[in-house]
Amino acid sequence: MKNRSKEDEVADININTVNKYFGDVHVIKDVSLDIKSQSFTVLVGPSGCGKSTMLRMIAGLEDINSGTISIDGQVVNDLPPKQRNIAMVFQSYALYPHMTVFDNMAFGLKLEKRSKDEINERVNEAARILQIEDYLQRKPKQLSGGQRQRVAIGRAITRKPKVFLFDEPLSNLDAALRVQMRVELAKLHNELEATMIYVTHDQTEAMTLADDIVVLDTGIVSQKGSPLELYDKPNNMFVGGFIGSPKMNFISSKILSKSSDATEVDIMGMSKISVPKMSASSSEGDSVSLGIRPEHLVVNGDSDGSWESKVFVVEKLGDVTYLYLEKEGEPLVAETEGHSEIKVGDTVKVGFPSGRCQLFDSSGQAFK
Amino acid sequence: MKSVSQIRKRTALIFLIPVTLVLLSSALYPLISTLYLSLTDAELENFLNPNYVGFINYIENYEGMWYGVLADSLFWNSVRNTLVFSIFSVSLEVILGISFALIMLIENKLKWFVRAAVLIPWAIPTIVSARMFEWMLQDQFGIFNYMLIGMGILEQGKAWTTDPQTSMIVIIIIDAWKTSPFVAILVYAGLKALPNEVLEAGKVDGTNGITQFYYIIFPLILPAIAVAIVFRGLDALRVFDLIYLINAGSKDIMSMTVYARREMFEYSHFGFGAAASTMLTLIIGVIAVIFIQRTRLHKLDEME
Repeated sequence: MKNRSKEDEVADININTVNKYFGDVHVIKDVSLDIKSQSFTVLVGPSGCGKSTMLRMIAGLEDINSGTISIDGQVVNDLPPKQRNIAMVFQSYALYPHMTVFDNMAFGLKLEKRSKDEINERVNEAARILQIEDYLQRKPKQLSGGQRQRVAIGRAITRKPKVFLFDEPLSNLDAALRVQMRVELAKLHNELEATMIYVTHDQTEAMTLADDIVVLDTGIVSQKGSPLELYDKPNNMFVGGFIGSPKMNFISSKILSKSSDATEVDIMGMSKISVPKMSASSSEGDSVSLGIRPEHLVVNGDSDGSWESKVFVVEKLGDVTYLYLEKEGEPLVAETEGHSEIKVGDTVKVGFPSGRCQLFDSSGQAFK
Repeated sequence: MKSVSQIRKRTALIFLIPVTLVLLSSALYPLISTLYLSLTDAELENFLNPNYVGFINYIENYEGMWYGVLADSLFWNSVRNTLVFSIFSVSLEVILGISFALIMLIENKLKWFVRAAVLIPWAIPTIVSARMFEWMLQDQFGIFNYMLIGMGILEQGKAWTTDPQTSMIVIIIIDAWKTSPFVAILVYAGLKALPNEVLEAGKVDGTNGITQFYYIIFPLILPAIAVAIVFRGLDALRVFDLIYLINAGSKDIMSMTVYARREMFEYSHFGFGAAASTMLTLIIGVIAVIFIQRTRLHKLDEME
């Protein structure tokens, strides 16, 4: 096997109109994606959206029914996992229970028939990066969840793959450890400069780790972009609602009038607002959804449009307070300062800054 | 005031009484009475009133000659037969059982048929399978000889079950045919319990079918295999029915149990037979303890 230099340890991944069926269920529908070399791409979506299936198809653990997946320019559809130059970290860690930590990390290299010295060197290097040098002779059972996760990552690192695949690697960890490991994964990505694809249902992980987020919804790519693009300019209601916590408020509304650069809508019959977004296919009188995030609503202050309501739940988180306001259907959530004096039963006025509002047509597509 | 743990302990003791009584009456009593019997001169005539004779049933020097179970070459022959039978039949059963279990794992439309087919021999009573094989191996009309003669391998039919050179092999094969399903079921359960992600991690690490089995699957089902070996091994060391059915009279393939039975019920040497039974128990016990120690089976919980 040839010696690899730093540059060719990383690879582009091209996914071209890939389809996947489980029996009659069409789980991946004509998905095309380009994943840049050395990028950290997060596949995110609710359970059942096909994100894990996507990852497993890239890994070679799942067949593809049609389309192609190429890694570094080579179509890998029919290659077994070991010939794809990938490493994968599983949700359950999937360590070999009968092997020591060292043997777990060395296993792939042993199968490649590497020399003892090289194996020792690579395993010790990975153990040093992950600070698990003290546990090398232990069995996985003697380790905590966080330590096991490090070993699983270490097993991936030692093989120096072109692509790292992570399948919800942090979801079995407790909240504090998850935050810590998240930071370490980000550091690791910088250190290794490798292509990483990461599946999660946790949008905080997606936002914090990703160069690019791919939002999947029932087997299609709903939107791909940087975290802030998705946050600021969701393509559709699904992405708008999925990214951000608490989620974006949606208010049913009607188009009152259109101008060349803005659309005027009403806010629950109480006021009007002119949103600087356009859609060529819309016309006056159309039903639309007005989307606005809780953190962008202005509580008891002046803004472009406003609405008054009673507060029925107050959530004090210290740094911020969330007010749940009465609205037909779902509650409207507004964020205000941590030490707010507002109590349940108070009437508040919430302001809608027009620049922060999103409009979605009846099929959920965003106005641009 | 009694603490909760004291009450729990007492409840546990109460629940243990019935099973303890059953064990005492069904296991300990026969064991002790056999032990006692082995130290007497009990025969049919004086069975209810035997005399204590010490260890002469085990070993005795009488006018320069050694007597007793331990001095009987036939007994040691039966020990050797039992060990040969146990080692070869259990080995064969483990190999076949693992193979069957792997076949049962294959997911296809025939899987229910395969699983049923694997299990059938286990469901057939020993007497039926013994007679079945006897007929198939019969020297004049058996299908096995018929086929061998047809293929020109044999000139004339061979009496496989009565020939001392082949009867042990025949018995081992019948036992393997009959009890491999038991091993297969245990191993199958072990295979089914394998964590799928671990196998997938292995695939990503580069295992193929053979390295996957050797490095991952086999070590992980080893506890199940060890349990199967203990069960089958203890069964095989006590083998009686198959050997008795195939060739009751032959000294050549006589097992320890057949030897003890013959002494007791054919010759009415109850004391001597009891001594042989006690030796049998002792030998099985020693083998079981050594095996369990060596395989660390009693530490199964810590293995994982």
